[in-house]
Amino acid sequence: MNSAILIGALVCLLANLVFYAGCPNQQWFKKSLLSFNTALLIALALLVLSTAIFSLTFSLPAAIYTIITLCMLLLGTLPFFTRYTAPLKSVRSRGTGLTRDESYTTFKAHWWLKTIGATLISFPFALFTSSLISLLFLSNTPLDVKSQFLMWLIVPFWLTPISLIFFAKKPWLPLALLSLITLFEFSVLQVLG
Amino acid sequence: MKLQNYKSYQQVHIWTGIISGLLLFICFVAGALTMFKAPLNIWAMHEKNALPAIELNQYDSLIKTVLQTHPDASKEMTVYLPSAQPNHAPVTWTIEDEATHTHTFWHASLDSSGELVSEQTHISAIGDFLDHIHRTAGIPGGDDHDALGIFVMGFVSILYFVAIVSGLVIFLPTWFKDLFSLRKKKNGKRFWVDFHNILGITALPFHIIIAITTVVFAYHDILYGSMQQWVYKDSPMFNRPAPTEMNRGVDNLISIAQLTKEITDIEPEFEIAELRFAGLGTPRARVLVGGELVGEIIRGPDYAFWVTDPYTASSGYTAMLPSISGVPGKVVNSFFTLHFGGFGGSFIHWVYFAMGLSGALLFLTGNVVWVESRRKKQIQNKAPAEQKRSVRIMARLTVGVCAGTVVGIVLSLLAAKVFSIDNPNIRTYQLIAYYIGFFTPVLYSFIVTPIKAAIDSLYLSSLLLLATIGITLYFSSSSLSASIDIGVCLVSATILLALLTTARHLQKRRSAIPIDSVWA
Repeated sequence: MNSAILIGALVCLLANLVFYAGCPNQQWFKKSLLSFNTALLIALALLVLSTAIFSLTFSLPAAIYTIITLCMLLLGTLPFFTRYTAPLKSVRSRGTGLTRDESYTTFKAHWWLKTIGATLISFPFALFTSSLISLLFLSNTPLDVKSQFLMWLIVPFWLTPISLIFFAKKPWLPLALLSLITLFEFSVLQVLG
Repeated sequence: MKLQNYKSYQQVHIWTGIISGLLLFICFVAGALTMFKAPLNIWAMHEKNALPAIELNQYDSLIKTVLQTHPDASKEMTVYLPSAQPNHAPVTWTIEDEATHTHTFWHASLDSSGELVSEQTHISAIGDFLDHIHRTAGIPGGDDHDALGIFVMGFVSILYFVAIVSGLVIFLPTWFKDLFSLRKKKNGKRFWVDFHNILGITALPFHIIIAITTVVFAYHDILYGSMQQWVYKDSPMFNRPAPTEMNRGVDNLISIAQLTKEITDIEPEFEIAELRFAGLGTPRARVLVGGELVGEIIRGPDYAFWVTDPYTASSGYTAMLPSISGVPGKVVNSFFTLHFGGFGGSFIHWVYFAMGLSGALLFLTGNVVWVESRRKKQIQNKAPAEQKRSVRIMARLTVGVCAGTVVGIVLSLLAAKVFSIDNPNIRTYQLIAYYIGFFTPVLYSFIVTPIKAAIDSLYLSSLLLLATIGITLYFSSSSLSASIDIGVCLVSATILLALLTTARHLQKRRSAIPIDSVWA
């Protein structure tokens, strides 16, 4: 491991230590040494520095991926090394923001309709959306790259409606909308060839 | 947010999580170890398994001699140059029996007088075996490309993605109060929920990428098939250069020096390391050239790749090279590199190793929360409540599968190391060792109480890790790499220490476990 990677990792560690120490739920100090905003600003500045140091060895995208991955690992580890058994500063409750309207008692989950409907309808939706994107924006891209890019886009477009369908009170409305969009996209693709 | 939406997503998170959690645990533990696939392959070998290394200028001669002496090697042959990850021979190839579909493995080198040394080999390839467990969760059936386990894990990853989104949705209403909180003194369930939240929320982008890429890896044939059927129709999806008329004899293969020149003209920093030839002597002949590009967005865990014609080194397929793939190509390469952890050399391999173990803990804690949430509490002065069968089974499965994964993997590592000296059945032995190791704790957790099964399995795992260190040291004189041995011993010792600490902690807690607990 070269020294730039080591120094970059140490600066990133420092950024995460500062950020955690400034968090309202930190369990290291009786009272946070820094306000959250100050800690956030210092941490961001250190992360930029760390990215610059990693860029000495890595390309910029690789340096950014490295920083994000390191932050995920460190922020997932630091809260386990605590001095106190619970956050000391009582965080003012903002409430949960959960509301209960009159439809709560009559609400039906429609699990099967939502799951099967979204899985089946969002697949062609994802296929045609990805195809349209690659047709409209990747006209100068080599065919091999375009085909792979299209294939990789399908899955996020497919899984997102499956994940979000459970917000719907009446499932047939979003499913009908998704079907109409899919039909429209298919027609556009036919016209554009 | 509406309360009914919150409750819907809570149910979605619970069920997608509980269905996918244990299989994902197996894949994440094995996946963490695949960060060191090549070093583990080398660790399991002994000097007797290896052929002499040769100089770079001898490779052209070796390749030609191998192809002339063993024409079967022309179907698929891999060449490891001196800069490649450590390997047991400069050239390897596999021969498949057309009738039985069984494979025999061969390797070759040159001796000190430049004469060909070639023989059938029986290496364990334990790193590749762990990679197979990583991709299939150990579910048997199908061959390597169409393994049943890969299809199952594709479906599991769809559930995993939905579990991630639903988990985020149910975390959001209380995020300000819960982010990074680890409340140890509250009831047991609160601690496990906090534990689960910390691991899940902080690694959210990592889990999203792993879920999406796994679905693509599992179903890419179906996705390409749909694209061909509905979008491309009669047009080709890929450019395939028309075969040219030429003599494709062994003598016409392009030299490694020429290949190096061609690739460095395209990608100057590319350090050529590995050549995978296929279809030599046919119009479909190709070579996949792998090389190091540390700190770049590359396709593989270790190498960037370039595909070309091994007779002409025509520009070939360059989409996998970072500097000329363009933005869409970089996006595609990013998906690969973010799954394999290939963007930062060995440093990121270690970070991904830790992320893999952290992911495994996320699934373990998710199951613990599920069990604890469904535990019926004892009402004061009344007999302990009868727990639901589903909760009792899930508690035992959680302990059994998690412990079984660790015991199975360590036992297969031990089998690979102990039996690897010229043993024709080494791959069968390591497979049997894994399944014995996996199912023993699973069965044991259904015989005794889950807490006893957990403690005993942790001690068993620790003992096996100690044996791994002992056997590594015992065979150190015939080892192929002292530095890999040291690495294996240090990692084993660290995990051993963690498992022993957990076992001792559980032993202390055992007496304090309430009588109505599912674990006791």
